[in-house]
Amino acid sequence: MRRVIVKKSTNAAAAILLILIANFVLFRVLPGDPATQFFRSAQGARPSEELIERQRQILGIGDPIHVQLGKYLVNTFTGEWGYSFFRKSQLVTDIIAQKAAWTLLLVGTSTLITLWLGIVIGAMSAWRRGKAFDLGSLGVGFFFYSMPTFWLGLLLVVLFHRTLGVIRLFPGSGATSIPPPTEPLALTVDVLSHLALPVITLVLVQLAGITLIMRSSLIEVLTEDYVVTAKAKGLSDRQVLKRHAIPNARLPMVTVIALNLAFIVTGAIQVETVFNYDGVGLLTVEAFQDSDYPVLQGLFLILTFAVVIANLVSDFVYAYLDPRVRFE
Amino acid sequence: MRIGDTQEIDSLNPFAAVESSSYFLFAHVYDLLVGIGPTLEPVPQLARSWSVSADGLSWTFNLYDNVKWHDNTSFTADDVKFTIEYIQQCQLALFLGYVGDPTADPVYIETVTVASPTQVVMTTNVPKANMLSLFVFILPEHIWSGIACEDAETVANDPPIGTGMYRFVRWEQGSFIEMEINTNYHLIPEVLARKPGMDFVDKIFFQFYTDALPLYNDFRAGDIDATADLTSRQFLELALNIDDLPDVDVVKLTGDDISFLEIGFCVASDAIIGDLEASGDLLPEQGKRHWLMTNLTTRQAIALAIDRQSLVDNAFQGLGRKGESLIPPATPYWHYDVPDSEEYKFNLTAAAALLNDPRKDGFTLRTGATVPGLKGEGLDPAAANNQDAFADIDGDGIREVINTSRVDAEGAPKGNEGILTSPDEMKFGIWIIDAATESQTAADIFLPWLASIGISVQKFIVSEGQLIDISYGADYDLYMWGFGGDVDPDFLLSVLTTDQILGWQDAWYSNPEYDALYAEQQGLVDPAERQAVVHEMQRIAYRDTPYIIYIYQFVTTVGRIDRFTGWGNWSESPGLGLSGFGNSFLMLQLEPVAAGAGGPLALNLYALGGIVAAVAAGIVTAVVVILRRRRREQMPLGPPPPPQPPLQPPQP
Repeated sequence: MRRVIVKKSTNAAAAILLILIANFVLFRVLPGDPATQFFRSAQGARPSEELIERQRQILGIGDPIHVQLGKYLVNTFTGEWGYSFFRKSQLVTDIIAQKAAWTLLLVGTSTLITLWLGIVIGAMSAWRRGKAFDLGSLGVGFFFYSMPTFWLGLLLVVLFHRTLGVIRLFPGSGATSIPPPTEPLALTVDVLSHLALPVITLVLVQLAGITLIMRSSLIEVLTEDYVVTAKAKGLSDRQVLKRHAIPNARLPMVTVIALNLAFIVTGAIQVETVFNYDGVGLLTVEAFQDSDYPVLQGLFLILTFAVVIANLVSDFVYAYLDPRVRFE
Repeated sequence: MRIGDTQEIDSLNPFAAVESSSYFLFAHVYDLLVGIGPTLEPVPQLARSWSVSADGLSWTFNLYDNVKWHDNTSFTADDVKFTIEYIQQCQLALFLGYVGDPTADPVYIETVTVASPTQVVMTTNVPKANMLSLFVFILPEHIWSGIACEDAETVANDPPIGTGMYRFVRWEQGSFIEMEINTNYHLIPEVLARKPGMDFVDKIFFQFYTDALPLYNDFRAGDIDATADLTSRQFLELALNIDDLPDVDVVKLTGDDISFLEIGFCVASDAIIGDLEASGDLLPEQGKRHWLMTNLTTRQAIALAIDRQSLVDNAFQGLGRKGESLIPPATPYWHYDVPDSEEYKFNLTAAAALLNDPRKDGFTLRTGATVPGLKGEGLDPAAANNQDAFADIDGDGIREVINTSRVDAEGAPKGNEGILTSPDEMKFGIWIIDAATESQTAADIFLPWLASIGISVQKFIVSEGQLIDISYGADYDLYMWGFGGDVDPDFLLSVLTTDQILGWQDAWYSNPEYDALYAEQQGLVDPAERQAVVHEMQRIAYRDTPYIIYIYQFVTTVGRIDRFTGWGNWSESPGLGLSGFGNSFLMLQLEPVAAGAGGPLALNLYALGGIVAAVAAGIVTAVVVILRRRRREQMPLGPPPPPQPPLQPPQP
């Protein structure tokens, strides 16, 4: 087991280093000079050449590229991700941290609900394969799965917005009311009510994917010989499912969960835009538009780390759960 | 009052901020010395009254005596003196153009003297025409004197302390800015004297959106009270009654903006390109604009082939005025009303005739033809007096130059014109910014007109940053861009001066006569004299057509008139606006209607009910599932295993 851990960790570290360098190069190669991007004021007015030159020096674009790369690698590992080009007095780490909290809340909640619902419905569908419940759940799942996310979001606003909707339930934008209530209970309810529509949107569009994976995995397991053996031993169906079938069907889910966790941090851009939910997804879009290199690098760094580490963890969990993998 | 914007502010420091939304904050927090009033005339803001000496060199400003900074320190003339000197010493580009740079500009403020705590006297080296429209925020000396020049553009300036009508409270990053009314604001007593008992807006929440769509939804839902950031379609389609009551809730305000959009030509002469390549400001491979851009006939023919009113109506939903001269009609005193005799009225036949015969010396038809076509087909290229014409000789629908040596241009064909083919063909490119979707629609409207007279133009969509780079390299032919200006015409006039090449200039226009007039008007304090020169400059610019100015856009704002009254008529008073021209004059006349509008939103019982219902449903489901588990029922376990061959008993 230890050798597995060491080998996979080393691979992960090498991957991270390569991706860091690639990230750095890619952003420098993008067209559009961030120094000139700075001066976007009324109706496209433009700055003088001296101003642009000074801005380039402040931004460090004037340095030769290998110097920039060296500084970048050192700064990354010491946590000094610099100041945003665009919000000049703010640290990149601060900006991302503020938004990451909201994204985690939104996408984390919806992922948990999706996974839980997906596993339950997938299991029940596999159980009643071919029957009404199976066909029904798959049909409904695909129906929502195939919708564009933003369109579904807008549809939910039309249906459930607390002033505009047919059934008036939830607010349609923002992570909280403005200004947010200070009293803890009111704040909690406020946050939850703002979370409702975005979460429902995300759950509906993702549900079918998880359901299908669970369903097909469990169907495969149910045809295995050891399931017949277990039944022949006299175990009840419930016991067979719980102790033999589902634990084996679970293994692919580990991989799926790991991949999903990694993408939590990118935020759900479409949902965040439609609902003006101030998270990491919106931040990514804004940073692109503003050519805000440090913020973009920070965001992609986090995504990289998240994907690599999630894969690493899923490898370990897999090894832990499945002894066959451990001893190969 | 809740105001929505699709761009978050980027800094609390005026010297660091570049987003125009930041100026919303500054307009309410800071004051100007002399304000820009509802009809764009100078009005008291920090200066109560003013006078100028007979020789035009000395200006006396009498200040209000009851003004306090937001941190309760008293405002005095020392703050004014400090502000002007700080800007000049630290060379702060944002305001330096207004006060003048003693080391570089021909006209500048020379001295600032404090005659008393409420009187400041400024002298200029020569008469300075724009002393009553200095867009300079007056800064608190007791804060900024402690900030070194090199830090002025990077310091956070949190909180920003000014003398304005609203005090900054907090900035929740990514979400909103909260401002609170400055109860000591010195202009309030004057308003109350006229309208006793008037109520003002106490708090402003400036809320940020990344997209216009949730902003639009929130306005319709009543969560936003005013915004200027709806798209044209949303602005036009918004209903006037948006809540459940049968009254009119929405007021749609359009006001003239001091801005224009233009179709520009890169008219850089070979001489200028050569000079800049020699000095290293241009690389040898730059300067690739098509040489025909320097030919006046080409530009004028294109101007005649574009119906500007149609662009306003069809690409901009009618939300603007037809463009003409350099200074927008928002400042009618400076705007040059182009007379009928000089105007380029839309006429494809006249455009074609101009290209057929630029020197108007008559033409001969090809044998057998009857009349030259819109593309110049039917012209005999061999005829002597057609040698200056542009005609479609090879029948591909694009005019060629019959004899390049007979074309009056400031550039000669190099053979590497732009990205396109032959320098002898009227085949150009037009560069448009990706975010300028309405301009792109406009291009889709006028490019076919140009094609019909034999000029082929290809569209290139680029980011703003790329366009800036291309512009500084003189590597484009036509392009679409715009400018925003001030109440004082100086800035907009300056953009076509030779000095602004590689600065604000995008057209590479260089005309010594124009430059001389620009210098002259800077020193004319008498408005009538100055107006004559300003008009003449615009006449020259219109004739030479480095720009085809096609629209002066309106500012379009929507507001809740059932919650706030006193919006005023913005067509008559273009100086009003959500942040006016650096002022809160709208807020001085806006009065809340019903109490409770804009306060923190109450606990939503429906939402609470919904959540409780969802949780209850979850619990019920769980209970049901658990109860069912107890029932032992046989469930099929998937498909039956494939039939096994029967075990053979061992053969004896």
